[in-house]
Formats: sequence, C-alpha cells, structure tokens
Amino acid sequence: MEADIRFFLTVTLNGLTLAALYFLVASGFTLVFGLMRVLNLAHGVVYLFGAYVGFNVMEATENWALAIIVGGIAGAVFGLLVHLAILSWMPGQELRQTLATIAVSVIAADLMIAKWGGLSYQIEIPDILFGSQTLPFVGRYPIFRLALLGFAVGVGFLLWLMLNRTRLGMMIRAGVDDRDMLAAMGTNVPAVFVAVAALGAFLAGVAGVIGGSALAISPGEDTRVLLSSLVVVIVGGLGSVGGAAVGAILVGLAEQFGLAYTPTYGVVYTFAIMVAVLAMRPQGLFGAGA
Amino acid sequence: MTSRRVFFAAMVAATLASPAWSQAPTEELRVGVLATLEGPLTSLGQEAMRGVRLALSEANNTVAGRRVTLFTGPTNATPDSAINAARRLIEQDRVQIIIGPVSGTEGLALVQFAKQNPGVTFINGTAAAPEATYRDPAENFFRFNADGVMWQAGLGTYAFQTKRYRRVASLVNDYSFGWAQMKGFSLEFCRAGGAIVERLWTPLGTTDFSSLIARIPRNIDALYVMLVGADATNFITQYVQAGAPVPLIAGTNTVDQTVLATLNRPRLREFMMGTPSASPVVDDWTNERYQRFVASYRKMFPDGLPAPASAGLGYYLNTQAMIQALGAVNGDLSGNQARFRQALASTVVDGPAGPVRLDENRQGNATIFVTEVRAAQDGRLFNGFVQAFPNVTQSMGMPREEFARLGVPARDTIQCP
Repeated sequence: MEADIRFFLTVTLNGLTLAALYFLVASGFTLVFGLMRVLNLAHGVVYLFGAYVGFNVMEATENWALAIIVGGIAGAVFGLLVHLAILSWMPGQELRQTLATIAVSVIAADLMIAKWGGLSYQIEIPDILFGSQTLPFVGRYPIFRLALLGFAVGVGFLLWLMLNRTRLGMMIRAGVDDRDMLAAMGTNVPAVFVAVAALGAFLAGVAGVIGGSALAISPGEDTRVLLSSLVVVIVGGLGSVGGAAVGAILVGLAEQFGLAYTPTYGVVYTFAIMVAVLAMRPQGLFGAGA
Repeated sequence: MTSRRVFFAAMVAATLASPAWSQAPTEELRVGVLATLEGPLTSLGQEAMRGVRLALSEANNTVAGRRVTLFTGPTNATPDSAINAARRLIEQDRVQIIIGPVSGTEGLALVQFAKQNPGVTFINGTAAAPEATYRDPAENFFRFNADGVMWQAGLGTYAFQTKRYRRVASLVNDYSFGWAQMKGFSLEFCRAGGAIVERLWTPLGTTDFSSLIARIPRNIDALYVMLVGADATNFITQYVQAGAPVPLIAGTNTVDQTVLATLNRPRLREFMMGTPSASPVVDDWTNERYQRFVASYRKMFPDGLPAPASAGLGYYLNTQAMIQALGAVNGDLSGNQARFRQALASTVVDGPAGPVRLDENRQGNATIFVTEVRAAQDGRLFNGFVQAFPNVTQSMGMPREEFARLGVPARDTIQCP
C-alpha cells in the first residue's frame, strides 16, 4: 500500500515535470498563434536548432547558463529569419503561411541531420543538478527534474509579468483580441509581429537547450515536440498562455500515468483528452472562441 | 491553357517516351538502398549506408564490368515509409535490386511488398524480425544477416551462469525487433533456471522513461534492457540520474556503438562498464579477417563510429552477397533475375566473422558474440570480446519443429515463471 502511494506520487511528479517542459515549448507556440493566427509548424525545428546550438556552446565553454541563453538567441534569430524572409511576404494569408512553415521545417530538419548527424546528443548539466535528492513520501528523485519544474514556473511568471505589466504585453494582448482595432489606434502591428515571432522562437530555443539536457537531442525530436505542443495548445486554447500551462499539465500527467499504469495504451490518453476537449469545447479550455 | 504550358507538357511527354528514359542502359546496375535516414533510428540508417559503401568500394563500385549506381530510399522506421520509399525506388529510379531495410517492422512490410513485386530482388539490410524469413517467406527476399533472436545467442546462459543473475525484469521497445530480442534472451535465461518477474514494454521513440523506471521492481538482480537508438541514450541517462538500483543486461542495440558513442558523462560510462550483451559485432576480437574489416571501416570513415555497429555489418554482408552473386552470373539479370537469385541462394559470403550461407528460407547463419562493455584508454566505451558462437542458425540449434512450437515472437513468448 505504501509502495503504491509512493509510486503514485512519483508518477504525479513525473507528469508535472514533463508538463514543465511542454509548457516551455508550447508557450511560444501559442503566443505566436494568438497574435498572428499562424500555426507556426516550424516551431519544432526551432526547438531542435536551439538544442543543437546549445550543445555546441556547452561543449566549447562548459557553461550551461550561457548555453541556454545562446540557444535561445539562436532560436530567436532563426524565427526572425523565417518571419522576415518568408511569412511577412504573405501577410494575412494564414493557410499559405502555415504551409510555408511546413516547408521550412522539412528543409531545416534535413539540414540539421547533415550538420549534426544522426547520433543523439545530450547537453551536460552542471554537477549539482545531476543525481538524485531524497524527497518526503517520494524517495529518491532526480534533482534536474525538480529544477525543470522551478524553471518553468519562473518562465511562466516572467511571461505573465511581460504580458500584464509592460507596454509590449499590452499591445500583444490588444492584438490577440482585435488586431484591426490595434492598428487603427496607431500601433505598428507588423513591428509587434516581429517582436512576438522573435520571442516565441526564443522560448523554443531555450526549451530546446533545457529539453536537450533533460532528454536527448536527436533527429525526429522536432516532430515529436511539435506534436505535443499542438496537443497542448489545442487542449489549453490557442493563443492563451494560461491555457498552455493547464494544457501542458493535463497532457504531461496523462502521458506519465498512461505509461506507468497501462504502458501499452499510454499514447492513447493524450489524444483522448484532445478529442474530448474538441468535442465539448472546440476553442480549448481557455480559448476565446473564434 | 497557354501555349507555353502546352509546349512544356509536350516536352515532358517526349522525354518520358524517349528510349533513354524508358529503359536503363544495359551496362549500368541500378541498386536501391532503404535506410532510416530520418526519425529515431537515423544513426542506424547512416551506419547502414556506411556498410553498403564499404562493400561497394572494396569492389571498386563495379560488378562484372558494370558500374553500380546507388539510389537511396530514406525511411523513418515506420513500415509505410519503407513501402513508399521502395515503391519510389522501383517506379521512379527503376532499380533492379533493393538492399534494406533497417528496422524489424519495416522488414515484415517489405516481405509482403516483395511478393507483389516479383521482378525485383530484395536483399535485407538489418531488419531482424524472425518471421521475415520464417513463416510464409517471399521467394525474392534474401537475408544474409542474423535475426533478432539469433543476435541474443549465449546471453541468457552467460547472465545466469557467469553473472549469477537469478531474478530479472525487462524493459524492451514494443515492436517486432524488441519481441525477437526478448525471445532470444528468455529462451536461454529461462532454460538455465532464471526468472523474469516483470516485463515492461514501451513504444519506439519514448523519451521520458521516469515513470517506467519507477515501475522497475526492487527485488531483482538485474534489468534486461533492449532499447534502440535515442531511446537507449535517454533511458541510460535517466536511470543513472534516478540512482540506478540494479545493473543492466543489454539487448544488442542498447550497447551498440550508436549508443555508447553518445555517453560522454563519466558517471554514465562508469555505470555501463561490465554490462553484458550479445551481438553480431564485437569491437576487439583478435580474429585477423574481422580486424581487417574494422580497419578498412575506420580508414574509409574517419568520422564514422569508433567501430562498425550491427547495422554497418548487416548492410555490408548483404551488399557483399549481392556483389558475389552478380559476379557469379556475370551481371546477368535477365529472365526475371532467375539465374541471379539461384546464385544468391547458393552464395557463401566471405563475412568478416566467418562464412555465411543461406538455409531453405533464404536466411543466413551467423557468428554471435557475447560481449561486455569496457573502456579504452581514452575513456570511450566499447564492447569487449567474451565468447564467440559460430554458426548460430535461425532455430538456435534446436530442431526446426521444436523451435517452431515456442511460438512467434510476441510480448509473452517463453515465460518464466
């Protein structure tokens, strides 16, 4: 009985820490969609690109914090390039923009295989974060996963501050609600788009480095990450950062409980949640509705 | 329709109808290679391509005076991607022979596809699901590499007798190759008297193993792990982070060079030292022919793996078989490739680990090694030689009927208790 409770708590913690990673990736994705109405399907390769760059920085400098920042910046540069060189040439044509991002992701994924090869890499984490810590009721638990949880909460808080307490955040929120009105009020909407594209890609790049430290980086991770982000934001509601957090927790818990109690059908639960949300509340739990 | 478009369409039609396109020049051999160059098994696919290129370069890319032109069919380890790539190789690149694929489930799909395409000869890569050449095999499908059950020859006995493990649990990728490896391991381990108390299965492409690690029972001597590619790297890291309560017994791909080369943290390397496994490749076997193979691999691919992995060896063997058989019939692929296939069936490949010949289902025998993870002077890990089992057959040395009674590899084939 006691072992059962311990197992249950461990799996819950696993679900929450996995949710932390999902939130980091999905927050940028949902932000970009909320404002631009573009499903940026290149989000997964930005994640992978940030992870690979972070890996190289870590190898060269042995500085994990620097790897996270540079990985994020690399992601932001990539996202900006895609936005300025491709998406901004077809403003307002959401479907065409989405298709263009698919092309970008296929090409970029192959280029990354050419550059970094097919082997999986792992970004080394500082020694203090490696190993396990004894927790009450749970027993030994990897320190890094706890740090991951804290990091995601921190990022979520900063995002909330930015959206609710700054001028840029005000413009973004206004843009999510009514883009035309925002433009009519004299705001340079395309400039806000650029800022959000960079911010979303920065978050993806940072998530890549963190994800590449918690799990391995390998070809194919881009589509896996993209798929889980899609599910998270569909469940949470496209465009809502709070929704991304709730969606990530639901998906993370479903995945880990599925894997732990019914390993064979583990993948089904995630999609069952998605189907249920789409059936009951198609705009997502926190979505504003079309 | 504009006149320019009409002109363009006419050009295309003319090009397609011209004899240069509808029929391949006779002097050139068109060979397609299926390899997982995308998705979770990309590292295996790249290693597979090295095996093909090594075998071809040893023959100067020429067979019976005809140049070999390679066409690559990239797959992502799913059966449908393998079929799509094979169809493209046949219809668009008009290849006459296909070598591949990498992954077990891809192989099973390709055997069915081979039956629908009798004009093309299929020679396996490393796909190691036993049924591909066991029940209902295809006439035009040949496999010179060993299957996943054979790859585990000797491991169960070694774990029981030398390592003295009595109670184990297992964590295995849930698809045909994982089932085959599990069958190979439990065949000997159960027969020796061991107990497999819990079997955990996880889909290929799992990255977060934390909840599975929490499910590993406490009162066991060792954990049998058969995870492939990035799954293995992820698992080993998370297992060590979680405290690694018991040592591992590794399936073939779990301590393959495609995985060992990714473990750069000293604590991971330390933990993996001494992990037993069984495989068709071994890194430090002193056999002269084998060392020649390793040396030419290293010379040709300075940025490849430290030593050839099973994917490299498998594709190398199968490509070499093709080269030898084509040489024997002087490159004659006429008559629905009948003479070529006859030659292929009786080819004895001069393999790096010993001669390979096919049985009546066109499945090769193999030398299998029991290995143990060791560290070289520079700290990197390799699979050290423990024991060699020459001439392992598909029925693992048992009479065919008795072996068949054990059942097709599935999750619960061969239970103990």
